[in-house]
Amino acid sequence: MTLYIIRRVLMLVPLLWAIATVTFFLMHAVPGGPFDQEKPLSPDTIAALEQKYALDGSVGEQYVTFIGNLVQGDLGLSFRQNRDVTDVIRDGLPTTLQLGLCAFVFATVVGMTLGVFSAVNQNGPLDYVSVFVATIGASVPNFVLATFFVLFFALRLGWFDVIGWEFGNYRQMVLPVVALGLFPAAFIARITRASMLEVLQQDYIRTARAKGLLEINVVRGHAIRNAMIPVLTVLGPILAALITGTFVVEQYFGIAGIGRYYVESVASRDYGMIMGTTLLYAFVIAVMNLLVDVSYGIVNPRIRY
Amino acid sequence: MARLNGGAPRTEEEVPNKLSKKFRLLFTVFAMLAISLIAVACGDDDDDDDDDSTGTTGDPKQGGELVLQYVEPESFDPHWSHFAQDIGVQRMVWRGLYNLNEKNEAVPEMAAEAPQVSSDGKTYTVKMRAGLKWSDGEPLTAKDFVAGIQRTCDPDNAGTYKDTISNIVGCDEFYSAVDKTAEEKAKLREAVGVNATDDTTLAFKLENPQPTFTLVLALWMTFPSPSHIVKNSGDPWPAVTELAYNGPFKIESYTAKDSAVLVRNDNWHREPAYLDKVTLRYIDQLDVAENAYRANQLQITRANLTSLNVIKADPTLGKEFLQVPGVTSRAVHMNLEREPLDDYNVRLALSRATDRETLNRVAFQGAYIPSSTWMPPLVAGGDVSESGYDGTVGFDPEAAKKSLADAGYPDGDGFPVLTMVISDVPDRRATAEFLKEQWKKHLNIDITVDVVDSRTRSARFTAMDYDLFPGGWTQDYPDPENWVSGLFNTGGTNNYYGVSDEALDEVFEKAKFNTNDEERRDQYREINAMLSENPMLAGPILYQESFNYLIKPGLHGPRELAAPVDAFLAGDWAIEKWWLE
Amino acid sequence: MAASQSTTTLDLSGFSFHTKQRGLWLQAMDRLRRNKVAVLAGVVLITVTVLAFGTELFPAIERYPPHDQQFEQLLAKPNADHWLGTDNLGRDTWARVWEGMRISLKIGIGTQIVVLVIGLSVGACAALGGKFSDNILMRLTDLIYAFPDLLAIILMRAILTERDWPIIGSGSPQIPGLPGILVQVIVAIGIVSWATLARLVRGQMLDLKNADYVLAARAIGARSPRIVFTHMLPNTLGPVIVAVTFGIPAAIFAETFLGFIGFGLPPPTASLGTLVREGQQFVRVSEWMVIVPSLAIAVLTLCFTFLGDGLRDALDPRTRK
Repeated sequence: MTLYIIRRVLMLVPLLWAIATVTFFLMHAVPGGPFDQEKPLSPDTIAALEQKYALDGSVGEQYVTFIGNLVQGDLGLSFRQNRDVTDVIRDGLPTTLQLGLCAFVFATVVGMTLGVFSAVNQNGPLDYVSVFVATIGASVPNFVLATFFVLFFALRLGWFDVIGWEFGNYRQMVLPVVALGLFPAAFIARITRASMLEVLQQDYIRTARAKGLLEINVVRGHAIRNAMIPVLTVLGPILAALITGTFVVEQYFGIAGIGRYYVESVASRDYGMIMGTTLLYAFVIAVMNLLVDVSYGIVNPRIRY
Repeated sequence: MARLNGGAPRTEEEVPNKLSKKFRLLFTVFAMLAISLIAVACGDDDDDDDDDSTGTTGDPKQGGELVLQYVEPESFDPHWSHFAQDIGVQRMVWRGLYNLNEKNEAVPEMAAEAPQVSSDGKTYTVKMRAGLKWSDGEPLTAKDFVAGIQRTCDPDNAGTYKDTISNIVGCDEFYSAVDKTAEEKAKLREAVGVNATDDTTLAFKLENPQPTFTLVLALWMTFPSPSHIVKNSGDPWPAVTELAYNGPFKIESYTAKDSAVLVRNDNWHREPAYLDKVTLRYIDQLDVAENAYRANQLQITRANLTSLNVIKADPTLGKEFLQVPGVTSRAVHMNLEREPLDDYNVRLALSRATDRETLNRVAFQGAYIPSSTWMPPLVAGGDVSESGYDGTVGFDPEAAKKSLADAGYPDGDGFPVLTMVISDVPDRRATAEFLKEQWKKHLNIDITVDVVDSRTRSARFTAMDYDLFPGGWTQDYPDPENWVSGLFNTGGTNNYYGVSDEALDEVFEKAKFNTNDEERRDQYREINAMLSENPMLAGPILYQESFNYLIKPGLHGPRELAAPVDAFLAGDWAIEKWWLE
Repeated sequence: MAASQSTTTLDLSGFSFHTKQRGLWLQAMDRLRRNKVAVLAGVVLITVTVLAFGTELFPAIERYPPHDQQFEQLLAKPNADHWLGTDNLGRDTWARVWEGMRISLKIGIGTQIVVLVIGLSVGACAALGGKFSDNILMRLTDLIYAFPDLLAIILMRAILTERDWPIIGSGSPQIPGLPGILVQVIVAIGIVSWATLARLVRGQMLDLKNADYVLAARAIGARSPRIVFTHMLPNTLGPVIVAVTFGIPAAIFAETFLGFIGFGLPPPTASLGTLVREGQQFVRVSEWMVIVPSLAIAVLTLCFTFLGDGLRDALDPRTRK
């Protein structure tokens, strides 16, 4: 097991290298360059700019330079920001992490609670309410949700701010977190419910009930714990998806995270920034993936490596 | 002079103000008269003085904090920038030797008086005010202005507006020394024709006489560089907190993607700015900005086009709404090197099948001004109105069908499927959808629309890889010449339309070397008539753009000061005069 | 989702070797039929699909051509003429939404076909092709899996566009009903989405390789291709069908998101995503423009989800009640 984990961690290096390489050649294959503008710049300006941003060699030469710098942890300059990519990421990452983690906590708590309650009340009113909430969360794009949240809760009722993010300020945190977390919350609720229903039919639950335990104790003591196993295994990918999926919410609530660079850097051909966000996101996804695989091993010892 | 407008990325393309190389030459001799034209057009306010030219109502109050919608600038480096949002914020915190007022006149700012010009017109001597200081308390001297010019010409900095000061001796030589050694570059830097003869006196050496040079000394690329902080002209521009400022405000903090906070600069040499603090909140999406404005999180924003009708009909917002005509023409460009667009009748048919009034009403909620003239009336001269060429090229479905038949495609028979290239911004999407249906309906022809991202769109334009291209032109400087020269003459630097027309080139030749200014401008207007009336070059011209804002009632300045010299927001050229009730 | 591997693993050891495949499927169908929600979802889906494609053929149902712009009826609320209102260019929302439904279904299903083709072949080759190819293919899968999806889609859209290649090029569609741009979107989304399925198939096949009945088949001398195609592939299909059912709404969502960030379909083609995006812009003027297509997406998503849930229960005998 330990050996397996070590091997997987070491595998991250060639994986990230491969992703960097693929991204590098993909982004240079995209038509249009960082200095293509509606009113074109003069040739001597483009020459000077290319020199300034080390874009004057062939793609192959640039790749060699890029890998050389990457090994030293240097991702180069963001053309759009005129700053080091690592600086830009360092500034924006905490906000994105806060947003992603808050949404994760929200999704987990709400999802599991809804799932458990609706399973225990199968086909009862609580079940329908939670299915309804899960339905909305899972089936409407989050920018539509965000739009209506803002129109109703922020503008009509005035409960929350429209833009901004300040950790600890509920007026600025609630709407973005809910808009981001509702979809995974619905997903978690669905899995929890299904898993709970399955567990509640197991023999040991019947045994516990037969022994005359209160239903609440049966659920709390036996069912939930066992039903959580499949849920736990989906949390890794969900966390990765939340951290890497903040773009819409950041844009709609004017939050200064790195989510927006992810999309905008492609649009502006900001090569350094494209690479920075890609590698960061790939790293997050790969690590979460690794955690999932390891957790499988712990949950289900039959899995061989 | 230069009408600087870039635009909010989501509603329009980012339009840098690229002055053509020929700008210097042509601008040199004639722009003074152009300025007076604008001044006339703006009305005669003889009693204005420099400091309070626009009569704000009530008594300005000191103090207050303002939050406004802004688009994140690409750079805070005035010696590098070209986007309107960059220039807008740079003018709030730095100023040059001269400053442009609302009539686009250069008035002394850091300079004490108008420059002294040598008899051959090639040497400018500027006397600065005494006792000027940077925001950090360091003295601001002539050396800092020299450093600023050198930065713009420095190839390591790669300033994108260097062409504007190419007339300064040695600037081009320095700029093109990309591959030279550091020593050679140092030598070329010293050779740039700007010198500090003492702490408050500057001498500029020009290649050619340029009466408009004073205006250039009011533009961002000639702003001073704090040489006590930026030691070498090729050094990167420091972070905003490490910089020094000489404008009415200084940048206190900057958070990428979020905001920049400006506070009053106490070392500003004039009356202190009224506002204590200005927060530029970066919001690209105008629907988001509108929400924030309605929630009182912003006091001024560009208005969201899609909800313009709701805004105008709203009893409160309707009063807070401000529309300022811009100097941007929008048209569907046609690639004249491709069949069948090389046929005059085909272009005429497309133009006549375009209902500009309805387009404006439907696609832009009436935000713009439908137009069939390429040059805005202000530029094109007195007798041309927006609908001036409607008679020939205006909407007329029957005539359109006839023109298409004349071209050999009766009822669209055999007409090839043309490709229109757009980027995915709401304005262009609506334009493309509208035109596709209109042309199908009136001419029975099909077009396909390629939606690409904006860089690809620009790349395809410059590679002339398009049939139809909704584009346009934003004025760099108020002269008819800026609207046609380089664009529609054979081999022009910005001629990405494939225009090559003998009659047109003939007029260009005449105008180019014409020293009679009125005649010269008339010749350019003749070109405009040729372009617009026979839709050969600009394609169907669609509309003149305007700028739409929402301004909270307690805020004074933007509404009162709005002028063609605005960069990004109404009245932002004189933010020191903004005040809050 | 990688995790679904563990929850959807088929435990087929309970079936004896001589049970015909048909029996397995019939039993599953039977179980599915007893699941009311899943049946309802299936019925709604079939109805919606028939209507979506039917409106194109029968103008009487479509009522207005979806691209017909009526300038005297801009941003209208639902009324007798326009059952669901009109959009900013005066187009009938009823007709537009059916068109959007059609295109979104094409994208959702098309994407899953791409996913199936790549996922099945990569997964099967990895499981059956020996250690070396397993390693190579699984590292490739890891690469695709860790590559940020959205970025890959944007990059691919940016690269694929402007190409004069067959099938994906612009101009009249070379596959009937599938313009080049739609194929581009399908390919772009498909290429980043197959990794999960490949892992799933590989896991299934590795399990089955050692299952009793496969060993038995081998023992009685069945040849490898026969074992793969008659025994292993059909038994892998259960989880695959479930994954694909869940994949369709995911692809529809992904396309919606592309529209939001400025990589939408070219006008006047309108997927549900494009409609939602356009509607969101005009939410202040007429909320119907965003509500209607949002509901349409919700219906599709829900139906596929419930159907997927039903299929999973039906194909996994353990959950029999």
